[in-house]
Amino acid sequence: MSKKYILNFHQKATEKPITYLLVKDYDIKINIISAKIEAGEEGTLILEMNGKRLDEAISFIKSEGIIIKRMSEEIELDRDLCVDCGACTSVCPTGALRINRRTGEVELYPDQCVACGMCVIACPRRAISLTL
Amino acid sequence: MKKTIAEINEKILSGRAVAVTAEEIIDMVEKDGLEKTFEHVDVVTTGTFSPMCSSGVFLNFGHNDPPIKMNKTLLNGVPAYAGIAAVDAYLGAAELAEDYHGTDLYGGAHVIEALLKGEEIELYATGAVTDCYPAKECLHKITLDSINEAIMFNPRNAYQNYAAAVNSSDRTIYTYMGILYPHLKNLNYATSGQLSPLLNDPFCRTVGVGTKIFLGGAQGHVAWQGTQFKSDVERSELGIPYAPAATLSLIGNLKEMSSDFIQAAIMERYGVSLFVGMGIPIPLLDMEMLRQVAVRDEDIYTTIVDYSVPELNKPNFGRIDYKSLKSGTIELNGVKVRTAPLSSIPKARKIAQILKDWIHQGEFTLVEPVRMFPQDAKLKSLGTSRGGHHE
Repeated sequence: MSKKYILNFHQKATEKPITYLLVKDYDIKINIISAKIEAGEEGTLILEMNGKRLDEAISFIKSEGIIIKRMSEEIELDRDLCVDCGACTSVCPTGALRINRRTGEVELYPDQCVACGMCVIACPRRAISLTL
Repeated sequence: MKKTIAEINEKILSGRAVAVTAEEIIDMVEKDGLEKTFEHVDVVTTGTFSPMCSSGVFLNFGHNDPPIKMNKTLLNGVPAYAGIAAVDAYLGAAELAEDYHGTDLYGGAHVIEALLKGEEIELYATGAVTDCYPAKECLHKITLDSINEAIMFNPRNAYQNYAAAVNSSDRTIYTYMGILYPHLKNLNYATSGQLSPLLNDPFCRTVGVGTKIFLGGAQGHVAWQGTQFKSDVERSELGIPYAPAATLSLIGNLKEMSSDFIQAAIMERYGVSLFVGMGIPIPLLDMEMLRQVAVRDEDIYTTIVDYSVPELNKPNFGRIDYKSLKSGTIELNGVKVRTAPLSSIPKARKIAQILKDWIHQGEFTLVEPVRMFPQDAKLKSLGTSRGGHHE
C-alpha cells in the first residue's frame, strides 16, 4: 500500500534530482501530490511512495539532509460537532478543508491533507482529529 | 404602496402571509421586479450563527436549606457573577474555569451548552452569613429543569457588519477572529452577508426594543440597542455600513432553546466564546424596505483590518465585498489570500427557514418596536491609560 510522506528540502538538496534517483536506484513507485520547489530555494514535496525498498529509500532521503515525515492518513472531521463555521479552511495550506460554495458546508479531502495540524487548533468546536 | 405590521400579523394569523428568506428574495426581485414582489411577499427572514462573546445567562437556582446569600458561585468550576440577590447569578459565556486541568479551555459557554443538553452541572457557592441567610456554603447538582429561571441576556449580539481580519506581521497571531498567518496569508471574516439580520435593515427601521426574533431556537426579543452601538457611520449607497455599526441586546428563555443553535466555541490561545444562532423577520412595510432586503453579497462591503497592530485604531487594507470573501480566496497586495467565514452559512439558512416556517404556520407574529434606536450614536473609548495599578 502507498504511504504519504512530506519532504522538506533545504537549499542544497533542491539541486539534486531526488525523485529520479528514488525511481532509478530504489525502484520506488512515486505519485507527486504537491511540489513547491524552486532551484536554490527551500521547498516542500509531498509524495505517495510504494516499493519493496522503501526503507532504504527513506534512509537515502535522510542522508541527503532532507527532513522526511510520514503523513497522516487519519484526519477525521466529526460532522456532529462541526457547525460549518469554516475556521479550519483559511488555515489549511492545501485546501484539504474547504467550503462548498453552494451548500456552505465544510468538506474534507483527506488525500490533500499534509498533517500540519493547524485545523485541529483552529476549530472552535474541536471537531477535527489527526492521528500521526 | 405600504403595509403595516398589524396588517401583516392579520395575514399571518389567517395563514395567508408570505415569508421568504433574505436569499430567496434576491432571485424573486431579479425575476419579477420590485412591484410584483412587494405585492406578493410580506416578510423576509434573516439568520446568522457566529461566535458572540458578549453573551450569557441570568440564573436563579432556587433556595438552599438553610438559605444562603451567595457571594461567589462556581458552575463546573466557572465563576458566575453573584453580586445580585441571594440565589441569582449571571454566567458570562467568555468566563473561564478556575483551576481547570483539562486539555482544552473550558468556560461559561460550555456550561450553557451542557445545561441545554440536559447535563448535570455542579454548583458550588459560598455565602455571606447574615441573620436571614445563615448558610456559609453549599454544593448541589443542578440541571436546566431543576432551577427556576435561565434567562439568556446577551448585551451585544448580531453585529451589523464586522471587520475582515488579516495579519501583516512576521508571526502567526491568535485572535478572537481565529488564527491569522503572517504576511497576509489568510483572512477571517464573521458575518453571513446577504442573510445577516442588520445588513438587511441597515437603518434599523423595523428593528427596535421589543422586536420578536429567533434566538437559539426559541422566540426571543430585542431587549435594547446592543453595547457599542454605533449608527453615525460611513455607509454605502444602500445605507450599509462599511465597518462594525449597530448591535443588539437580546433576551430569551434558555429553557426553550436548543443546543443546535447555542454552542460553545474555543478560540485557540484567546479564550472561550459562544456560537449564537439568531434571526430577525423583516416586515416589508414599503418599497424601500424591499430594496434593502434584496441586497446581495456583492453590494455589501467590509473593511480589511490588520490585527497585528496592537493599537485600538488599526490600519486597514481597504474594502472588500462579501461575494469575493465567500469565494474562498481573494487577492490582496497581489497575493492570493484564503478566506474563511467563522459564521456558518448552513446554520444561518436553517434559522431563516425556521422563521419562515413559523410565520407560515401562524406560530410567529411580528412585534412593533416600542422604542427605536438612536440614529446618531457615536462610539467612545477610554483612550490611553494613565498608568498601572491604582495607588
